[in-house]
Amino acid sequence: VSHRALTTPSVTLVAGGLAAALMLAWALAGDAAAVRRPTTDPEALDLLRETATAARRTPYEGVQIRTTWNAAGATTSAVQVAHAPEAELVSLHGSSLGAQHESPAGDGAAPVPGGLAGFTPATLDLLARNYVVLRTGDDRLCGRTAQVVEARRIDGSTAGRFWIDAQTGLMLQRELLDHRGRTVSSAGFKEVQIAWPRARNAGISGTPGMATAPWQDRLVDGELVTLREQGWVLPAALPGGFALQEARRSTGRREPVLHLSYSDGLAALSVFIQRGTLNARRLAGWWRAGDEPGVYRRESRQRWAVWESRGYVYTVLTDAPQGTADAVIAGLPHGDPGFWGRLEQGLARLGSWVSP
Amino acid sequence: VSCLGEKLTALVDGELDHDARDRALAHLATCADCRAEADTLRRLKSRLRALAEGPREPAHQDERLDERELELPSVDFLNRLYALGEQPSSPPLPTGPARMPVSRPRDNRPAGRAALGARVAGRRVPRRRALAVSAAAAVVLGLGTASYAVGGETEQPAVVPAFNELEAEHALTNGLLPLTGTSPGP
Repeated sequence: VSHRALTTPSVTLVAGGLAAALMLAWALAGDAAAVRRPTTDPEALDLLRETATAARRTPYEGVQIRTTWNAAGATTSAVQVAHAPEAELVSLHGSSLGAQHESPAGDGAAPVPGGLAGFTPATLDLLARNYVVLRTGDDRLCGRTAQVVEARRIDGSTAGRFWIDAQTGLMLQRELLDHRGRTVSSAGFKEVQIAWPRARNAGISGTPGMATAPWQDRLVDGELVTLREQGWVLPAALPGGFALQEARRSTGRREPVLHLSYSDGLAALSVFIQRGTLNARRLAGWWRAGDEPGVYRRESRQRWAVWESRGYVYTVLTDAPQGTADAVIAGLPHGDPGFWGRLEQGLARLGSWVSP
Repeated sequence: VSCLGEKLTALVDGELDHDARDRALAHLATCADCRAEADTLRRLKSRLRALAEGPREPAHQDERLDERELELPSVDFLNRLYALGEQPSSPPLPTGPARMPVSRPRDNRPAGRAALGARVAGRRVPRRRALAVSAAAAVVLGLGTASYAVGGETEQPAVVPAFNELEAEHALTNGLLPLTGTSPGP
């Protein structure tokens, strides 16, 4: 009896010691891993934060080009731009382009996500949440010195690269890259002069008749709630860290189209939703591919996907890499609702009759 | 199932366009079955609306459930259901918009006598229970059937999104330039 009484505490002691040693080893290894993983550089974030102000305040003129790479090759578009600060770049970074999520009524001159117009505080937060942001050195672009900032995925691969003019803080170029390091889209100045534009009517050289302002009917949170109750699927977040930035509704047509703008801080992604069934016979030049049956795709200046589900037609439009776009598409509704879906839909409809 | 199928729900919801509505109404004029179904759907819809607006004055004091109408249970109705079984000799309960507390006499009795009471009362307790269970089942079944019936897709027009307009809208809201000239690359 005395022998057992002696051994039990010593066994407990050994087991406890072993557990403590394991805990210590795990904690140290965790620390080491945390040290190895790069963290966001606050200075890099500051550089990106300043791009919005710089885009508004800096006078410039030049040519901007946008290139998209896909399976079929590259597609490039060019546009002449001129910006005088007091004009607030009426049609380029116009005041109605704001994306202030928290103040839907008060449009500021805040430009929106990820483009050359710079970052809003909200998109910068998203970028810092989804990516590690680092400065990687200087480069030359358009005869100017640019500071290069990179956004890296958790696995260390580069997802985005920004060239920021060292003198003015203006974003000169930005690129999006896929997991294999291939550039999938870029936008930037091909040539630029930092000077007051010679032309008096600063703005972009647009084609007559082309829309110069986004849809004006901006939806507030309450309207989104009502639409959801009526059966519209309007996710606040999508796979890959995409968050809803703003929602608008088309005006001047009988069946409205909803435009949901998403961003992961880097890529912009639009989901358009309208009631109806998809008339697939009129989709010449589109093909069906991917895991989701019934999804038609096209790649031109953007990645496109269109499909119908449960009486709604969804159109997704993005410059994000294919894998990212596929994950988002899979996260939206597809196919028939099924028995329970139909029951749920009916309940929702009865509910909307109760409180219209 | 009516001949109009899910168009009938759309008609009741006012979701049909002018022509489709005319066609549906013309059909209703000739088909008694569809007319009856549309009538039931309309009544269901108006009752649900009425429920949302708050309890209304009962139209009649008759305590029998009028089977000709598709009636959804209200608080008042459930009170009367309880009253039917538990207080056979009490005067008619006041029926009005106010929610009345449901008092269950069994709770007032000493615990030991509850079982005895049940035995003495013979089969009345199980019958009461059966009544409540079947009422609940009827509500669930009725609501489920109604949900399934109105949950089908309403007839939708075949559309092709206006891709050019969508692309311009996308470009105008994402901070990149709306694109004008395009030249395919190499």
